[in-house]
Amino acid sequence: MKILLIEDERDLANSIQEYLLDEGHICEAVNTFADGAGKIELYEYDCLIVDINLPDGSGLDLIRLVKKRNLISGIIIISARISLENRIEGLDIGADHYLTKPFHLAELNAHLKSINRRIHFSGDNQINFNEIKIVPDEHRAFVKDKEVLLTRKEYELLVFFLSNKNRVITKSGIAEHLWGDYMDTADSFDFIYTHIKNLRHKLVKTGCTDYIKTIYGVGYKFDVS
Amino acid sequence: MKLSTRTSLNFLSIALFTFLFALIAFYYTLRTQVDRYINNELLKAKEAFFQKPDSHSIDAGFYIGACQVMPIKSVSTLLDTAVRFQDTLIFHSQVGKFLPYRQMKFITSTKENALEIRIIRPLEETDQLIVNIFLLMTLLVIVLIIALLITNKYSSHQIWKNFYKTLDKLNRFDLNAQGDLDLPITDIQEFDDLKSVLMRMSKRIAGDYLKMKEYTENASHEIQTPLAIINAKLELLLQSKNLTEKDYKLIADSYDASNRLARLNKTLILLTRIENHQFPEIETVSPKNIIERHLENYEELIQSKELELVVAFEPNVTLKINPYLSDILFLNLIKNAVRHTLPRGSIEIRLTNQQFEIVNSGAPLKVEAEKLFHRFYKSSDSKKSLGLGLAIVKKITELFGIEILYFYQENKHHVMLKFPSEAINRDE
Repeated sequence: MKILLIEDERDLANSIQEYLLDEGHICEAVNTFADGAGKIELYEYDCLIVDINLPDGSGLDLIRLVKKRNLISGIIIISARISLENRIEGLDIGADHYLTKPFHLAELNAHLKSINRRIHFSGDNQINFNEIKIVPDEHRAFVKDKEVLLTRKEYELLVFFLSNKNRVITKSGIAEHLWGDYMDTADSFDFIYTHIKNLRHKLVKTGCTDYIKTIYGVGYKFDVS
Repeated sequence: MKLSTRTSLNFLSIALFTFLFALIAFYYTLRTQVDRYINNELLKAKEAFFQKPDSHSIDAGFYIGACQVMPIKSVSTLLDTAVRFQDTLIFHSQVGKFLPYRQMKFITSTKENALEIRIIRPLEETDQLIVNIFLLMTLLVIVLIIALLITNKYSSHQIWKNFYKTLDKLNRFDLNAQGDLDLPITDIQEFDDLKSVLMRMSKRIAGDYLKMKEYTENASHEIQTPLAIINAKLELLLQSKNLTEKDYKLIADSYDASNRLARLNKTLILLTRIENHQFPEIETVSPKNIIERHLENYEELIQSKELELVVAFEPNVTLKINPYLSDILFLNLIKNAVRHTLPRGSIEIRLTNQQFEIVNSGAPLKVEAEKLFHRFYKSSDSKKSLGLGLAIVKKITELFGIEILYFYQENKHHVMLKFPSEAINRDE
């Protein structure tokens, strides 16, 4: 996917860019509203990742600009403002997601993957990986075309892993993905373990390779190497 | 003691003291004047007595005006010729009692002997007069004092009315509420001075407070960005090849700590925003839907702790409240109950039109219940929690006038929300 990142904090922009390049995306990063607007005028992107508070303008105006020209399919807002109005306004004018800083790169990645699926596989947006097939519209998962009955959380967990293959995903990253902002992550560590244990068990029982590795003390990794 | 009571008491004590002395002085002055008048009368009687040609043969009981000559006695000496006055009591056989008289006594001489002559004048009427005048005066004084007290009370009530209004306004002045301090206009200079001082002061305080709030919010938001950088870098670092288990542990610990800091910061921003009244939208929400959604999120946790969950909803309960905050309100209470209930314990949730109650089993609190809703209060066994959840609950309930109660009964913690009548939706 071709991604334009507009973020005034260079350090953060670099990290995000590095992560996304690793994922095989093409990612350009700019630090100002003016540069962002210039890039949008000149080139085409699949997805825009934009900070709201830019030194020379509002990211929301950039989104309006993009929407007016109807160029980019996916928009993700990243903002330090934990403001409901900003979130609502952002989503109203056409952003797909609103992430509050600090966010997990794995979470950003998962959102990008879902945007990617929407753009490139319109109609038939299945996730296929080796023997695993997922039909997001129906919330169903298959291994070697045999359905695996997963709970909602297990299903979300599997999709999250598939979006972040070969990545170390921290427990707090998983907890926030599954339960959102307002679940105290520390509480949920125990059942992340339970959920993952159940998911692995169900997948392996259906004949799937055991991809999920535990990284002791840190989190998990969907290891396909 | 109220100011008016104090001034009344001061006035009363001084007035009573002064009037008491004045009355005593008045009585004695009056008495002296009357005595002098009677003495004069007696002296005139004496002159009349001597003008009589046969004065020495006058019988006792002879009247000169109101004065009466007493029986004349012969005395042996002529030495004491001074006229003497004295008050005396003389028995009256007609009325059968002693009556007061003023008596004049002097000695006069004839050719043969010295005679003691006494002339008396009844005092009964004048005494009665003095008593009457005295009583009248006392009555006047009492009436005067009462009138003054009433006037004082009324006028000070009028004068201080604006002061009490000011006091009341100050009492209800809330820095968080929008709007300036609005004090009543008076025609008394001191109060006007007080008013302008207070207005100036409140404006300055409100300004400082606003700056402080802005500062807090901006600082918190600014902190989010470096935290985002730390998190992103650590997450990238975690993806490096050839990390040892020790490296992973170091990175993960740092990552957890910075995540914790971020969550803490987000929560503090939320608290600040609630305090700053930044959630003005009021909508009709269904607590039942909110609660059910949160319970769904906690389904696994509840199952894994083997908690017994009892839920009772009265149908069609709605609240007029900010939707976002009501979400957090119920979430935090449910989260709190789920977290603190020990495995195989129980949670009961009851929702009616008037109130919401969440009950969970558990050991009694180790500290006073009042501290439960304080910031950073934590029970010792949950070092992972931030200690802000119930502080937020408290803030939200304060904002919407919801009464919150906590009590411990039969080994169960009860938290109860009583909805105010304006939040209860009665239209439907």
